Amino acid sequence: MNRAQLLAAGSELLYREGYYLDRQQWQDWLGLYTQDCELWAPSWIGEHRQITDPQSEISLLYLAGHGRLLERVERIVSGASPASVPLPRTCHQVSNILLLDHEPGRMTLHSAFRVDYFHQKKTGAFFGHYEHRLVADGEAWRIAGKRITLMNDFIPTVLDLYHV
Amino acid sequence: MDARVRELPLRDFSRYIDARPQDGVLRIHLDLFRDPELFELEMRYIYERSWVFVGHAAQIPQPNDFITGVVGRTPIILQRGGDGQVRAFINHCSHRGATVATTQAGNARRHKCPYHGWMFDSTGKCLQVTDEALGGYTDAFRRLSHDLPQVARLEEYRGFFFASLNPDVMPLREYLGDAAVFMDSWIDQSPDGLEVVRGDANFTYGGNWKMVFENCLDIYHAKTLHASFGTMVMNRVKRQGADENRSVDLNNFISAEAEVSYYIFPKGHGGMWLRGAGKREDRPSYAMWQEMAARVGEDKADMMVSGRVVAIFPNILLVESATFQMRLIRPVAVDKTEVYAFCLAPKGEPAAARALRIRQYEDFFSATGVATPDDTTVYERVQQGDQARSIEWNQGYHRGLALLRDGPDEAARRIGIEPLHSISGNIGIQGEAVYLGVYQGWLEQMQRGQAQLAGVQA
Ligand code: FES
Ligand SMILES: [Fe+2]
Repeated sequence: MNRAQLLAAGSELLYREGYYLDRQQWQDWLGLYTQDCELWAPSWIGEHRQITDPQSEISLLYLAGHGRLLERVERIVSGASPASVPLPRTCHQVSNILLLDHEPGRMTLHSAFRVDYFHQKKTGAFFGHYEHRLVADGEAWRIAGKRITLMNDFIPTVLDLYHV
Repeated sequence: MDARVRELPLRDFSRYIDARPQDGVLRIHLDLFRDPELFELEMRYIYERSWVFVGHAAQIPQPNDFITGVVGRTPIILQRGGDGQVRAFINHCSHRGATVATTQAGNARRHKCPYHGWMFDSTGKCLQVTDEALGGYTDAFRRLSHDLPQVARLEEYRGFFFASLNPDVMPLREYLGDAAVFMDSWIDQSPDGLEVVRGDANFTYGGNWKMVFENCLDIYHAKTLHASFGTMVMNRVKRQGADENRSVDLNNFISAEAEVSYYIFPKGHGGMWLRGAGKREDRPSYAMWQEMAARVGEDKADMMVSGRVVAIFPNILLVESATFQMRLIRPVAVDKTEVYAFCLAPKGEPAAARALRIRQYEDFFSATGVATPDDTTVYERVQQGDQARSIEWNQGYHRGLALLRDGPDEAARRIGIEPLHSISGNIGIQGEAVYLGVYQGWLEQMQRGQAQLAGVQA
């Protein structure tokens, strides 16, 4: 694959992730991730500095392994968590996609995101940057790593997987 | 009489707290959660008269480190001066009032006001009035101190800094009383004390500040509100075994064999101590149990690996339920609250235990985790429900009231504390009657504040 083809395939996957989250197709969303995936939203330790080590510092989200994603999804759909009942309506927008790095079977993409949500008559938004590490799995690409740099980190009541 | 008080009518605060434990009644008027004028008075009479927690020494370890915060509505800077001493001064430029520090934390030898350039050092002293010589200033002006005013009182309890705008406030140690023994049970986990694990996850909710204060002493909600957390932990163990990212099992935590004590301390502080519940080896601190037991004795070491809470009125919560978090409450409006969350941990904790602590913390207590968002969501629902103006009281303070007794219980004696009242027994009591002390503290401070500021006898 050349750069343009990689970028097209990678962008398609990023758009698809937002599509599944916005449509609450949780199983399809989970299917985008590898078994040993890592979803990481580091927290801030200054105006422009973030933590670097999730083992010795607090993250906003640090979910290592597919099982961690699955259990969060199970909770979201269980109806047993008032924070997710009703679920907000969300709209993921992903843009400014750059191919940062690639080698056979792997690529790293930078992008900007904005997730608008509507919940209980209130509108809000989370925004920031993503860095996706994708790996080839046969014909398809899967997410091995998603790093979320969340800019507005003063959490208004709830922040869950569907907000970012 | 203070000019600010004349604008608001004097209130008989005793009518809001219907505490008659001898008749089996404890009721708190819903106006405490919904009346904006009462919120204003709480700011004046509690937050701006009493002791308020403003930060931990570990947040400002180096000379010139500072954090910003508020005492009531007064913006402050808590800063370690170049001389190593910590001071609190008001973040309000003497010239025309701009805040001189804007970031939540930083390191600065000087604060330069952005507006007209007056300069202050890290002790709050004014170094320079811009172009003073050219300014045609009067002698009267030159006689003024241009320094940033120090907050009237700043005292430390073992790394915990409290400030007060009231020069006549009682000594901090007296204010904390035996609630400090609960604080010790975290501080003494390591011979080197506590550190703050880096990384912020602060949050807001659309509800009154007392909701989070109440909630930290509320075990009653764990089984229902946090059912999804319990299920998650159960499934995790089933799928991956108990050692994989283990979290404290809430179902075990609130199991029938557990014993619990609730303590009512003077000044509105409340404590909760849970014994014989949860697998204590699931707690990160258990990695240090041997050393702790040898140093402080088994009774105190047992306390250090058990579930426990101390809520220091009005704005600091130390909560170890499924994991340990400290919270600083910052009321913004009657129906809006900010919470600053801290992961405090014993210094010198082994790396594996630290990583487990961090995972448990993110799981349960983080605003992005699987428990706290359920709590904040229900605070908002309570705030909505409490708008029912035809309803003045609810029934939410009665559990355990029949078991209320004066003085310490057996467990309190073991660790040498003298609470005003104890409520103890099987975990099932989930003694919400502990709020009796919280609201008696509220009432005393409101009455005293009004008496002092308005010159009226309570
Ligand atoms: S307001 Fe600070 S220098 Fe004028
Ligand atoms: Fe809770």
